[in-house]
Amino acid sequence: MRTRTAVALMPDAIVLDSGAVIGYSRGSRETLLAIHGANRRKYQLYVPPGVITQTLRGGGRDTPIFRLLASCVVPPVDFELARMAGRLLGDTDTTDVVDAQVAAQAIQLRPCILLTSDVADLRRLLGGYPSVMIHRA
Amino acid sequence: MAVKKISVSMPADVVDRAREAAGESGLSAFITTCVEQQLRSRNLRKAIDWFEETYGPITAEEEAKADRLFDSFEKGRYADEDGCRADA
Repeated sequence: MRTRTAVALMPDAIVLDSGAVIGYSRGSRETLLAIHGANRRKYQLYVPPGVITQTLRGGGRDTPIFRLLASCVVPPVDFELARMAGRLLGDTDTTDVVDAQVAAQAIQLRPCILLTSDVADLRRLLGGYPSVMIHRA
Repeated sequence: MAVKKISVSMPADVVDRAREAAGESGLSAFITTCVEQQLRSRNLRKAIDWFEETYGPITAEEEAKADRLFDSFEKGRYADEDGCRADA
């Protein structure tokens, strides 16, 4: 678990799911206030790779999403994260791989804020991790 | 990833403090992380500017709401009207 004092260079984290990224491009005020706060308080935005697959479609509507992604860290899905995501699916008897990878990313970065349009599903996946704060995008 | 070797000038005391902070990871990795963070921060500001130009500026009420969200996170109190603890 990451602690605030363990790594001086690592700012606090906000993980964005697909709903949060799309929310930005479509004018979600909840997403705006979260990223505005992140900017003011120097939090780092994280977007798991699966979210990029879910949100980019190769057309002009990608433009605002690219604008947001330019401010985000996109960490690789390594073996440990993939295994953790699989275990979360098994524990909750659910099947959404990207949601599970988003949840696993949040677990690796905790304590953190998770910005999502799918509070119920992410809460289910993260039931054992109270140091992830789930916020509706 | 390609790596470029560059020469930069920095105040000596800044270099000393950076070396100390970098520790075993090394000065290059430390400075790379700092630069990446600075670039992402600038890009986030641009992303917010675009949003506000497109959808309207953030209001005082939204500013206050953002403060409450981050205050509750930093104080470990997640169960307000907007956020929820994952185990709630």
